[in-house]
Amino acid sequence: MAGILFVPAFVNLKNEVMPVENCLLTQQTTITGKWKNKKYKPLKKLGSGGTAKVYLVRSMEDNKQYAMKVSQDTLSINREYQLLKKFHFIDFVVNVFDIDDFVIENNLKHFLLIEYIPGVNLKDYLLKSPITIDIALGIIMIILEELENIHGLGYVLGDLKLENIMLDNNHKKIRLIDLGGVVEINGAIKEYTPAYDRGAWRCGERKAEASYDVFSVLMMLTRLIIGAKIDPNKDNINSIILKIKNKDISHELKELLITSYREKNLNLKYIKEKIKEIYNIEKNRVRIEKEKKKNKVINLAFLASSVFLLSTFFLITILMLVK
Amino acid sequence: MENNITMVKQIIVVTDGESNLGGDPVAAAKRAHSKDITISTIGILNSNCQKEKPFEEVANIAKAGGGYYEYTYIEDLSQTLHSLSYKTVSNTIQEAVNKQLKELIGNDINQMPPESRSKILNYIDEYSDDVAVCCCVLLDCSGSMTNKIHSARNSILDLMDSLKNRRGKLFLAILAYPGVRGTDSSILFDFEDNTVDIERSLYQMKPNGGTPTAAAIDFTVDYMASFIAKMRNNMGETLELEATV
Repeated sequence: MAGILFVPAFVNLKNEVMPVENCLLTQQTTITGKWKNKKYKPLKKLGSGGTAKVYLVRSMEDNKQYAMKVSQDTLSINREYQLLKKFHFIDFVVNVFDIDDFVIENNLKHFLLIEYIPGVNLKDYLLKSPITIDIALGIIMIILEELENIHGLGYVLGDLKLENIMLDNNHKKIRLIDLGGVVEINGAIKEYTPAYDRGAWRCGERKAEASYDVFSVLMMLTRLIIGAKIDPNKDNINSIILKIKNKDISHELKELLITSYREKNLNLKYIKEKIKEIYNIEKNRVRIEKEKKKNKVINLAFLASSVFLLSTFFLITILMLVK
Repeated sequence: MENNITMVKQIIVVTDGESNLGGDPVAAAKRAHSKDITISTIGILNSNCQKEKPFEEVANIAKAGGGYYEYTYIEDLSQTLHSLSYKTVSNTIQEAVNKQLKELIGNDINQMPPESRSKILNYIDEYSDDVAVCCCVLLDCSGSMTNKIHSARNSILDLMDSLKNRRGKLFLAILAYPGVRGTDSSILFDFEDNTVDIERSLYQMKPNGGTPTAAAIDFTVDYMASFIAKMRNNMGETLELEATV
């Protein structure tokens, strides 16, 4: 479906090397899994968050590249492994291949071997180039679609945010790379990021309900539209609404976001349908605006050439008169 | 699996500096830990410069108290309180399970391959959500906290919001140190307070004076112990029953 929409926009982005500061693993170390005895060569650090660090590694078994998530917290590594396996059939969710331990400097570490996704996450992408509104809505539509499947399995994603969504260069798709916040429906939210957490915005309870995720998705959309960082410590929901009002987007989209932020019980199906409608409106608007711009250029060119023509005539007549 | 933990008892000390009054807070934390109460600490950093010393004390108190420590800016206090309280609960249970495993089979969880480990870890995860939690937040209200007290108040309200969605029972109290009228610490919101207006009771926080951390920890430990003893007397049988189920 809409998945192919935004691909040309990110296909040329280079994968930049992360700074190597406070790296646990260097390229000199070879990691040997304690239980399965498989060997891995770390290539670079891909990122870190919470209690875990993620490295790009090359497996010495099959010579393929993988992402390795390393943590000291056995509970969270185990939880994520179980969930990744459970969601294995969902393309949107990254694949997991193995779980094991290794010992480094007398410390026992736990790790997951995950599919490596070459590309950028949405947050980094947004920092480099603004995303047009129709592409933003396309991405949000896909996320909502996938979210509905996951809710159907009885789970809430919890810690949904731009940095956890990867633009996958290989498959030309968007992928979810972190299940650290996933909890069963009706449980308590265990991990969250204030900018996407309805509790922090005082827009609802920190409770694992489908509507909790929908709020996060709307905040992601808002972030994509506003472009700048949003922070519940500095802004409140009303100042966010004001920022939305000042943006060059369709009236319908403004209306949807503003009413949704005042709504306690967000309904995924309803929001999804609305976003689909607005997607078409915005696509049209973007097209019309492009045409307007194009027409402007044509008009300008016409004006310039007619001025040129007229002045030539004028000069010729003057020359004739002078003779 | 059987488990002899019927309640996780934790104290979270939130401070922006080191103790400068009374006894040794590390020793106080050790005493608390010997009574099965976990002491975790959160050190609030100043965004500009920081001395090295207050950090050490924050870490040392948590190490002696069997808990975690974390440094954070006041803006991120809500999130830190949230993750620290959850981490302490699951860690307390993990330690208890580990202890039992060692007695039963001579191994702890990490000495099992990940696949066999996962069943026990799933159980710990589940149980962490079900277990009753008795939690005291002990908030530094010394003079240096004046500018941060508003954010701290919001963070505590936020913590109550997220903890109440756990499946298990929650007993929460908020204490401040130094306390009112020259005492070492005073209770802002007590375990049995049924008033909905927590916010109002939190407005009693009036930062001033020094930082009597050790005395405040001792006071909180005694307060928690007497509350639990009282509760056990009242409904001891029910708790025992719950534990066997």
